[in-house]
Amino acid sequence: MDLKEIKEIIALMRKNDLSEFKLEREGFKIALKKGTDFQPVVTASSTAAPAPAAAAPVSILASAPPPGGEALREIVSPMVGTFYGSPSPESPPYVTVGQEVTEETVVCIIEAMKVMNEIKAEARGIIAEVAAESGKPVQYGQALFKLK
Amino acid sequence: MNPLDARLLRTLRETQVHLPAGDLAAQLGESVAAIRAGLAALNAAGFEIEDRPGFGFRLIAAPDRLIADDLTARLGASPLIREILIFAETESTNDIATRLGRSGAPGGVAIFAEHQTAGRGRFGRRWASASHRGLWFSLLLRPALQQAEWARLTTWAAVSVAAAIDETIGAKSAIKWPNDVFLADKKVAGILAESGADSTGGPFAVLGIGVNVNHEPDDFPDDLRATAGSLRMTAGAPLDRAALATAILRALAVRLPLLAEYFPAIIAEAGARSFLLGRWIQVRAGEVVSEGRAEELDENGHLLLRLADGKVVRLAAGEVTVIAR
Repeated sequence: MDLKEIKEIIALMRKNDLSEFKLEREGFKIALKKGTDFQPVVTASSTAAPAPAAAAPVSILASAPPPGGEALREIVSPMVGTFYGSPSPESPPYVTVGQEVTEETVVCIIEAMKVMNEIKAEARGIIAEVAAESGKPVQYGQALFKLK
Repeated sequence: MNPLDARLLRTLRETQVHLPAGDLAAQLGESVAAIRAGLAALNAAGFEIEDRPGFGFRLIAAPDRLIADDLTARLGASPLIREILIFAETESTNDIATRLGRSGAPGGVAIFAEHQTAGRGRFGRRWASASHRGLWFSLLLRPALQQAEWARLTTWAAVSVAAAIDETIGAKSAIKWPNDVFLADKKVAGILAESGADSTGGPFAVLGIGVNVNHEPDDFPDDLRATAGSLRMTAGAPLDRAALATAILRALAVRLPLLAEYFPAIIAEAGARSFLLGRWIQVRAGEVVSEGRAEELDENGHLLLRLADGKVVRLAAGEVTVIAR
C-alpha cells in the first residue's frame, strides 16, 4: 500500500463520514482513525517487520485547522531514507522558513539505497517549519516540513 | 558512422567465417562498391578486418574506443535502451542524463563517457576515471514504479553488473550493500542514482554505473590503491570494454520485468552475492552511525541490522564498514 492509496482511503472516510478504518493483509496492517480534532490519524505497521517502521502514530494530511490556530499542513516523506535539506553540504538549502512553495518545488533529497530522490512539495504554501534534520533518517509518512 | 557501416559491422560481428564482398552486398541489399567503401571506412575507424583472397572478409579486432553505432549494433533490439550517446570527455554522465530528463526526454537513453572530469560519488567522493580504462555511463529511465520503490533500481543494477562481470571473466563477484561490486575483496564497480522530475511533473531516474575494467594498480590514486581493483587485475588480461558494456545492458534488460513484477528474485540474487550478510558491520547513514550484524535484505533491498542489544533496525541508506567476519 502506498501513500496515494492511504490518501484515497482517507478521502473515502471523509466522504462517507466514517470514523474508523482497519485493514489486515498478510504482513501488513493498517488502522485509520479520525482524531479528536477531526484530523485523521494513521497507524501503520508491518507485522513481518522485526523493527516497527512507524511505532508512533503519524499524522498526515492535516487539513482541518486545529481549534484557535492557523492551518498547518505537512509535507511528509514518501519513503524510508536519509533526509538532506540541500543538494550538497556546501550548497544552500532547497527551501528555508518563510519561503513560498508550489506543488512542483523541490524541497529536499531523500537518499534510499544510493538513489538520491528529489522530493517535491506536492502542495502550495509557505514553509513554516523544517521538521526533519539534514543527515538524519526519516520514516515513511514522517513530517519533513510544515506549511502554512 | 553511417547506417550502412553500422549494419555492415553488425553482420561482420555475427559471422564467424570469412564472407566475400558479394555475399555481404547480397545480405545487406547494397552494391559491392558500397560494401567496399563501408569496409574501408571501418578500417579507417580502427576496426581490423582481414581480407583473405578467395574467402572474403572477417572482423579480427575492434578499436578500444566506445563507438555508439558499434554498441548499438552489438546490443541489438533492447527493451531498455533506445539510444546510446558517447562523449569523449564530460564532467559527469549523470549530469547530462539529468539535464535530458528535466527537458522531458523519454527514458531509454544510455550516456557513456571515455573520461569524466567530475566523476563522483555523492558529496564529492572521488571515482578514479583514467581515460579509456573503465566504463562510466548513466541511464535515463522512466520506470513505471511508485517513487518509494525507486530505491529498487540500485539493487537491480548491482546484481546486473555483478552477473555481467561474472559472465565476462568467469569470476564470482560480490555485492557490498547497497551499491558496490567487489572482486577479490576490492571494489571494481559502483552505482549511484538520482531521481527528479521534468517541467510537466513527469518523474525520471538517472542510474549511474562505473566499472574499473582495464585499470592497473598504478592507474588508481594513492588513497584508493589499497581498496580499488579492476576486472583486468582479476582476469589477468585486458578486456573488451564494449563487450562488457553490452553484457551489462543485456543483464539489466533481462531483469527489467522483475523490477516491477517479481522483485524478490532480484533480492535473492543480491542476498546470494552479499559481501556483508552474517558480518559485524558499522553503517553510517548521514550523521547516524549504527553497529551490528548484517542479518538479511528485506523485500525492498533494505538491510536489516541486528544491534548488540538484539534490536533489529532497517536501513535504507548508508556507508558500510566491515568490522569483523
